[in-house]
Amino acid sequence: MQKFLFPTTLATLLVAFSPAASAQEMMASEGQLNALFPEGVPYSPYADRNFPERPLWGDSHLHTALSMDAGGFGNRLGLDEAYRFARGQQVTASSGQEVRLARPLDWLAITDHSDGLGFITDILASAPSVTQYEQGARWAKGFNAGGQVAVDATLDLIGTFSQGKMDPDMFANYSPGSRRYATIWNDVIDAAEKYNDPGIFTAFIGFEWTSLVKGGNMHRNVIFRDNGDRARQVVPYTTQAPIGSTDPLKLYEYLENYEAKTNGAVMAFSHNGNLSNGIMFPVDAQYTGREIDQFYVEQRAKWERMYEVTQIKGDGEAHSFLSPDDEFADYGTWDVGNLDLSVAKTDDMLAKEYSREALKNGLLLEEKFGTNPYKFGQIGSTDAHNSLPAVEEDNFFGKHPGYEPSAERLQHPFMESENGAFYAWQMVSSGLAAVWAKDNTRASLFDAMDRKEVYGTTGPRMTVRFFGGYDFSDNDLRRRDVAAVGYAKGVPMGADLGVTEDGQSPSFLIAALRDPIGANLDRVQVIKGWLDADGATHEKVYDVAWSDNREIGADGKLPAVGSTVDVSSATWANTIGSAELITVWSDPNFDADQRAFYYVRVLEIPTPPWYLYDVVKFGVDLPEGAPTEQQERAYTTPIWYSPKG
Amino acid sequence: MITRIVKEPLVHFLLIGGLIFAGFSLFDDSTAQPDTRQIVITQADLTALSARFKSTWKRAPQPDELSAMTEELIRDRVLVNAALDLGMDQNDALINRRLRQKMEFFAASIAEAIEPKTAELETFYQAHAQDYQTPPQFALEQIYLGDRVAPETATSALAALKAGTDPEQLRHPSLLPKHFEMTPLRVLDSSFGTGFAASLTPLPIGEWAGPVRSGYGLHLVRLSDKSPATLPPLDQVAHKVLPDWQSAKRQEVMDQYYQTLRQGYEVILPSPDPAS
Repeated sequence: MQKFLFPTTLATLLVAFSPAASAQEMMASEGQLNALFPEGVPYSPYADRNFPERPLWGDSHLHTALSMDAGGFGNRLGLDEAYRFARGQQVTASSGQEVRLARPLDWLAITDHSDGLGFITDILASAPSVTQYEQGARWAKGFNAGGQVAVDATLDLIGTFSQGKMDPDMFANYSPGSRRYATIWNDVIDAAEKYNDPGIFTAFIGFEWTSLVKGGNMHRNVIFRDNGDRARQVVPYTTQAPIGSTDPLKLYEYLENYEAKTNGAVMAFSHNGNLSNGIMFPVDAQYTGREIDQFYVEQRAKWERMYEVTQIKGDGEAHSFLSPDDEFADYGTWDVGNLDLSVAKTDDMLAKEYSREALKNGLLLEEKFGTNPYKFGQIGSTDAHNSLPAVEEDNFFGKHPGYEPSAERLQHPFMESENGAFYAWQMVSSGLAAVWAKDNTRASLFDAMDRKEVYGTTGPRMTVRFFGGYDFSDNDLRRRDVAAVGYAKGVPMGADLGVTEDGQSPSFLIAALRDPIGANLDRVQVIKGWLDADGATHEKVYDVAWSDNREIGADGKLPAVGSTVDVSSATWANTIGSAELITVWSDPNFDADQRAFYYVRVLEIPTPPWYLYDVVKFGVDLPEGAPTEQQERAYTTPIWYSPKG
Repeated sequence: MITRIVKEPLVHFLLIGGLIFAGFSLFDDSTAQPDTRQIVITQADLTALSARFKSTWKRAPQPDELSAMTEELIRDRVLVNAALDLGMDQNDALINRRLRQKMEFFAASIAEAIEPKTAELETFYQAHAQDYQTPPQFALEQIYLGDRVAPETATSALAALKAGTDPEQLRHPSLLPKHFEMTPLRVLDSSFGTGFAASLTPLPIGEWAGPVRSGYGLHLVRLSDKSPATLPPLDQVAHKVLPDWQSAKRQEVMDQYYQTLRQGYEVILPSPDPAS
């Protein structure tokens, strides 16, 4: 045997060290290769088609009863119900009402809080890993007693946890390292495997890492590209010391370790910068005081591939303080304080909270360190805590079971402290994530998210195509075959524009089609952000396509589309607006030496907000200060431009 | 020191408990039950203790460790026996729930041991055919006519099309795809609006037909292929059918078991309140 081995090894060595052969076994002539790559494109426009035909709709952020706060607020629906609901089946909500989506989702990521995962459900089941402790037995008894006793037990539990007085031995059972925690994680994976149905419905394995720093929201969702075989090799990362941490850099370490250990793929994405009180998108230093440096920007860019721009706890695209010239900036704005309202908001915090500002500061940091940490895909998600991603305006089931439909839900504030209040009507019935993936599978969806070919909406399912390049012309509009032209002549959302020799201004092919069962479109806008030679960032909003043949007014503004909302019946009509808007637009103020990004915002015509449906259905009063109409929207991921050199 | 001990709630609890216990034994006129006054630790108990220790520490316990564990076991038995004597298990939501779970686990474990006969699985699969069907699919070409089109215009467009007019001349420009290869019903509905795909079912194959209404307006449609909802053979979906059958069986056994037990009881409900 030895005899045969020797010559083989020798041959390998010879090949490896011979410069001509390099690592290849064969050499090919040009003639041989030409036959493999014939010239020209197929006659049939449908042959060789290799791009996504329609966006796949999903929610990347949903909590079930396994999340401690969700269970505490009365969510009794587990993983099964959440998946069945997302797949379009009818379920009974925790409040006892029957509920169903108008249309199923294409995919779902259940992201329960990793800290204390399954603790509440074990209390409800009176599991021995809870009831062998005095606190646990007390709460289990309380929850099972029902009524006011259960409410008191919930309040006691929440109070005990937030004061850090939870029995550490008991809580250790619901933290990494314990057998119980591992089995709960296994259940989460089993459910995802059970409902994952490639081609029909994708169930991602995931969790939420719930970092809260002095009430400032630093949460990240984590989703895996992989199936259970790999995901089972780890348990979720938490925030409680000694195993967990609230520092995102530690989370990135966990992600890095996962990939190294399993050869798998995983990503993180944050949300609710609006409740972070200025620590979500740092520019100078992290909340720990650690300066932003090359390491931080590279790690953040590597692991945080998307950002949830819009969800029930507020829309975080733009704030009128930062974007005074943007008349549509304040949509669903929550700017009173941090997540638990323990610290009030001040204006200086806003610049580190909103996505548009982060995209601008990303250019600045890229100039400084060579990597843009805030080059993220923009999506929407619900963050619902009742296992029900129900964010259609006429079918809104609220943030958690306490805000499921009832005649009373508009009456009590959602949250209140001496620093102010978030009122129930301010919950935003938002949002969804659209992914330009070719196949409805974990791998295909994840890869599209990884290349940031995604966009977010505040709930409606409008189709938005956005391509950038240097060769688009008005002729491209006639074919209406936007995707074929777009991919052939340019790059999609999430990508980078190249540079041209002569510094030509880029052009963009943009098309938007309204939700098939939704409202018409008012306008399409391009939002440009750039960095000037002095290191200052700027932004401008361009109206690029609009409905009803409106003309730009003397003030340079496009007049409002009008409104068909009937307040007394909570209805609207598609008699204004346009079912689709399509255009080729080039930047009139392009400067080839300036870093820039461009993204698209699509506005629907005004429609009634969810609480107006409540007012009509329950015959209650409209809350004070609540507007009777709104314009729902979509935000795409930008296309970025970086100058040469 | 003494005052601190006296103020300790645990001490109060023990004192009160002792008094209740004393009172209970004083007025308890039932015959003495010698069994409950005896704690019997068997060799099997000790083996179980050793095994549990081993699973954690990967070695056998030392004699002093084993005796400490035995002491702990005795303490457990004594307190549980005393608690049972005091009736502390009565009306305890936690204990009730645990006992109920045990009964249900017992029934479930019986159910899990049952293997389905092929015929039984077949019957179940036929009865729940809709859960295992592949959805209907359509392949089609469509011409969008616009959103405010009179039905007559649609009819004459259809006639023109059948007379050989180029479809491109009738088409209202739209971002909607013109062609769909075999596509499941729910995907078509997600592109055109709920209900669109259902209205394709009666259309012929290979001929222009319509108009069909979508969320965007009217369309003329030519189906090139369609497949109805089909039920794959059992062996292809057995991996889905079997767990469903098992969970249905479990429920059935548990219900039967409960009904059998319930028949052994007379259930007395409060008489209806005449005032209400």
